[in-house]
Amino acid sequence: MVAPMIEVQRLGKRYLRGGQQQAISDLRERVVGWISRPFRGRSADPDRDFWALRDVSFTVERGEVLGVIGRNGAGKSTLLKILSRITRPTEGRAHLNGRVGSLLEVGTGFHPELTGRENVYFSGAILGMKEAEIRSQFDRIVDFSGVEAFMDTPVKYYSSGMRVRLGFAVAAHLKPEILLVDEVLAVGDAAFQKKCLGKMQDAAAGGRTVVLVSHSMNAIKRLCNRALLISSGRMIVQGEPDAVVDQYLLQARGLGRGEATFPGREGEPFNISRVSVTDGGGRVLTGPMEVEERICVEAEFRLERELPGGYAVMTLRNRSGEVVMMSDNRDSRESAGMTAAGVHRIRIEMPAPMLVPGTYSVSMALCRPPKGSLFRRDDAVSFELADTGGIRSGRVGYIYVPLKWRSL
Amino acid sequence: MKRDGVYRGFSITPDRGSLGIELRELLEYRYLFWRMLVRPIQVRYRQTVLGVAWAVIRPLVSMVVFTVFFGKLLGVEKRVDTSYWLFVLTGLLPWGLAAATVTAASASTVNHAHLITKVYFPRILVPLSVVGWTGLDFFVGALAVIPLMVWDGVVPGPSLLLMPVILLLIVGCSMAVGVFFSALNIRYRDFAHAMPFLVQIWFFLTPVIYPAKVVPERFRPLAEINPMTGLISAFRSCLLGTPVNFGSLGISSGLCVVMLACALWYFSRVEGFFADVV
Repeated sequence: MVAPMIEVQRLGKRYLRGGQQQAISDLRERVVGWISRPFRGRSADPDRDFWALRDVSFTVERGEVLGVIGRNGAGKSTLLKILSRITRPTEGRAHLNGRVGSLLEVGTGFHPELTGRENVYFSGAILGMKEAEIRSQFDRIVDFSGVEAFMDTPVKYYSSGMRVRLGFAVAAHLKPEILLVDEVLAVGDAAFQKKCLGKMQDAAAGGRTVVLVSHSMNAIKRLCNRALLISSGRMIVQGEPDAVVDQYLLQARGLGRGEATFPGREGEPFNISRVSVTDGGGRVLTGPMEVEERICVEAEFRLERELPGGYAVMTLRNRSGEVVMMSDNRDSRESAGMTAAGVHRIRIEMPAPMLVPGTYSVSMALCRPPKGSLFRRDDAVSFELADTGGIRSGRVGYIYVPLKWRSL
Repeated sequence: MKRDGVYRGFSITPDRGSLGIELRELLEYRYLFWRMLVRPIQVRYRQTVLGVAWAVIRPLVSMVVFTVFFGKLLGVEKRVDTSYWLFVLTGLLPWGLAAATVTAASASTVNHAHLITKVYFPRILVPLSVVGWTGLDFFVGALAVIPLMVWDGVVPGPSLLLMPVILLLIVGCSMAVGVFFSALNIRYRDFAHAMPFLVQIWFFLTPVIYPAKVVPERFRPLAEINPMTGLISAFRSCLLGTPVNFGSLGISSGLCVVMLACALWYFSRVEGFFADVV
């Protein structure tokens, strides 16, 4: 019988909403419970409870690569932090059947005053490597990082790219039986990300058990043999990565929805109360459109007060969650901007053809200079572009603008 | 995959099952502990001109200040059997070790927040590891200062052999306080502000710059509750070759062990929540 490498049973983590800024209402209780209470966060007030994770159970077998997906704040990172023992759960239990290495950031434990060499040793140690391990891997780590020439230079003189490369080089030579990874792939340039993906594949091929939290649907599909979808702290589904990713895109990212309305919240001065995708005639979309057909996005902004310099931003994302394009109302002279209090209705006309066939989500944001986004509705609605019977349906890339091809 | 030893897998539960710090796990992390001891030493005197000489300058300058103000101007030197500067120096050396350890250990967990929120390792290593540099500073200071005494004609007696034990107790006692406050400080930053003058009050309550016998008879038991009283006096007696007050040292040792046990217990109860509140 082979025991699973990771066994998670009804894991839950509760935080107190508002955390620190609690009124000193009952001084006696505060003094009595002062010393033991602060860390427990035991509260009888359910209004202040916030379950970042609840009732999550799953197992991971040896050699499996499990992908964890979900929106920001869904509880993915909390799950990873519990599994890597950074924080303790409020209920439930987990058993990890082997040595664990966790990578929640690149370059953990780097000290700017120390040289590259000294930092490799410290970082290796804090990630759980033994001295002999670091010593025997040292040359390979340095080689992988590509910063050989600067090993005796303090890290504070490194460029940020060099620092990331050295940090990942250490992490990549970690040889635990269970590897927990959070979004490490999101940093660095494309070449570096590719290198990281390669290392992850090696780890999986080498029989290691991996739990990967990522926003990159491509990475999840390529690397994982199982995926888990979390939403608002609860596990929604687990299974084949393709199916889980599709469900995530459908549910969490507003796909398959042509129109969405959002009631304003009490006390919120700003709201984006409606977003919809329509055809050229102003009818809300209910099915796929052809790439050549014109598509419009309509939105309704409600401002309770004036917003000097305010403007609206629209973001289009493709199925993998990559931003395909951004546009704001300052691109066009026909829009008045979002400065005055009141209700603003806007309509954005997109030229056609513009994008390759596929599914796109629309996000709307209200921004103000110089800080940017003030209020947003991420992935509020979506639309699908098809090329029925055409030659463009399987095309890769992002844009489809017919080019002139001439025989000479 | 190499299967080394018996440490295979572990369970994660809301509460730590066993009581206290897991020794086997600490053993697993001994190399990290070594790195954590060494790192502040590597960094401490970088980009300074005088470098490690600071470890000597600090106690010497303090000694001069106290000798002038307390010894001469306030006349404390008349209450001391040896020369006052020597008396002060043999108090300031161990006190410097204790004060630095308490202060650095208390601040250590907050200073290591970036590690505590990103990676697991036994949290207790954070406050414990400050003894690397506070200990080294102490020894450098002592090595430079002790020849001064010998040159002045002071010869330590056989009680010098007790010295390692006394140093261990001083470190243990200050570590107990430091570990306790390092856990509190992570939730209530008030202690970051309070620590400097708490340490200063403790300094004046401890016979560092005055002899224990100036304390009025009825306050003696109170003074003995302070474990540093017996330890600093014993340190001084060992160096100067005067008789060691074993009664006082015994009380201090007992207190020290109890404090350390309490601090480690408290730390182990709350360390699992550091990452949530830091």
